[in-house]
Amino acid sequence: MNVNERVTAVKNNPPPVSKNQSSAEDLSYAEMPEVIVTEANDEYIGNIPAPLTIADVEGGELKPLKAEIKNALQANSAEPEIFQVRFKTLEGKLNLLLPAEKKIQREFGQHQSSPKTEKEEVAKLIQIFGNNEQAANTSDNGLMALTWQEILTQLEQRMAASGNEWKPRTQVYLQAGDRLLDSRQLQEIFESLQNHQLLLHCVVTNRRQTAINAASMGLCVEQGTIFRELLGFNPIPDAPTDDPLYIKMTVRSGVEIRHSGSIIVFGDVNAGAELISEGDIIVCGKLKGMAHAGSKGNAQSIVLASHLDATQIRIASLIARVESPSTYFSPEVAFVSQQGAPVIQIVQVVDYYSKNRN
Amino acid sequence: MSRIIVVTSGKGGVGKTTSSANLGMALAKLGRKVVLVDADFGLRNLDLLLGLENRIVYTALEVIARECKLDQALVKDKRQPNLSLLAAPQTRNKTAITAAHMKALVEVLGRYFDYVLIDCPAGIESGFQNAIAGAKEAIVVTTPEISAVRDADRVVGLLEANRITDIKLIVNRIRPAMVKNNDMMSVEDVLDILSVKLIGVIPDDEQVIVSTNKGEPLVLSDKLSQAGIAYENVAKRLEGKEVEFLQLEAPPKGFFAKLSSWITGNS
Repeated sequence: MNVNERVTAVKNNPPPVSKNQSSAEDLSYAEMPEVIVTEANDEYIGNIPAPLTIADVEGGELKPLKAEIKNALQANSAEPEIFQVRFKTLEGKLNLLLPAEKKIQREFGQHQSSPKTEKEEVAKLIQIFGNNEQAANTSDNGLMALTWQEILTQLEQRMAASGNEWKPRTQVYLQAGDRLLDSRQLQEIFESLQNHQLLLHCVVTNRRQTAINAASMGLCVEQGTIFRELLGFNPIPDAPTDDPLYIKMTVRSGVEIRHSGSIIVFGDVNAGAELISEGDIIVCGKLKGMAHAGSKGNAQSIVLASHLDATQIRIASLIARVESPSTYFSPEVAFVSQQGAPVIQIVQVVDYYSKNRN
Repeated sequence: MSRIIVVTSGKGGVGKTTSSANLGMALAKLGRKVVLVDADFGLRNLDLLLGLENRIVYTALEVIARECKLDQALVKDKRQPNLSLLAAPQTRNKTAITAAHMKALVEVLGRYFDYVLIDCPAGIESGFQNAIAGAKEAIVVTTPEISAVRDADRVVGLLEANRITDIKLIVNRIRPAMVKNNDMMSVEDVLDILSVKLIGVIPDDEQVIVSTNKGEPLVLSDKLSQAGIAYENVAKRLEGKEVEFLQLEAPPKGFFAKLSSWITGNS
């Protein structure tokens, strides 16, 4: 096509018309509707951690881990954390818990001043898996704080997974804790819940601004921190601290499910997905993704699947690579053998129970 | 009611754009009014496959910026007037627009066309998020390779999380001979992992390269190649017709082999 034609094409276009002239049939008057892109408010931007600069990463990636490791080791006995979006029913109330954002900032401030001499120590800590797996996890969460988009995605996944567990128009208590939510974010949560027939009823928050935003949307507001009961605090060390999480869906690649109790999946867990549980993991379907049971160190945990085809299984501080694909079509279970040195063994479920009886 | 369908895959190079172009053309041949939207901002290709590169004056970006009317930016295909293309800007990148813009844009297009097909960029970042923003349905394209299937799995999960639950699958570039020798995943293997509804199986076809270079979609040629027929079938299935899947087999046997099998009675 030559230049002439292009010029004529431009010429042939009708002159601009005002919007009210447009009609449904005539495409030539069609115009892009006005799109108002709402800017996030300043306060919100202020709370996004600054991106890592070269100075932060200098001296290897280990440096930022330092602060978190300390924290996590201490945190083992202290407050439990929320890593992911969660639903939990307590005393007849359906609570929606959002992961905290506060922690991240504090640590960003810290690593800049952390002295270099401790670097080797950190490296050592990381080499030993076990407890430090927990630390590494925490650091992951610290460094890669969930974006708002990811939180919404997780919320959708959780609602899809627990599908019809809740009655329509159940009232939801949003436990926002220290997280700052602007009215746009509250609106998005409201709409997401509404799509699953849930009703955002009340916002429980520590932040004055969040409370104001919620009140201006006509939501009921409660001030206060998240109950320890909601976080699933359990004083017994290593024991799973929460009720089992029941999931009814295909867990696809890229989805990470982290829970402080046991995880039960009714569906396939595809390669590239990750299940991390402080208790047992039970999959009624094909397990091809990574499963980590007893992530806080409970070696009594098991991984059980109707078809155990994972390439890697982790229990407590142990990792097992599964070399050959499963040839059994019966359910199998992976557990830590207590005879001799602890190793992960995989046996058929029937054998596991007969063994454990003796 | 128009159908707004995003064609996506996660992994690059599996045939999103080829599938979009051929499906759009096949649907237009069935008498539907179709608009193809190239959402791959900064790396546009759809115009090349359709041979419309030199007719683009305005792109989606000018429409969004309200610098031109929608019809000024729509390029009508001269071979098949039912088909229009809304090109992506080549000079800007994916951050030039937002999901809200894209949503509004496809909604307006939906008022004038039966089908709005959105050609999604590879990856799962903002470009992907923008492309799926206004879509009601999705076609996931994958090849029978473990990497492509893994990425497709991730994409299906993301689509579901974005409330696009009507997802259909095209398995592209199948080589029947390799499947037969167990050197390639079969369609069943792919379906076993992804568990979404299959809408098409496209055989690997040299003609695809020829058609891409010529700027002429496969379904336009007079004598349809296997891949061309397969795309036409996908279009028919999208229209709700029941069409048998092509019997893809290893290259046909020679005359004597056929004869002997006919004599001995095993086909």
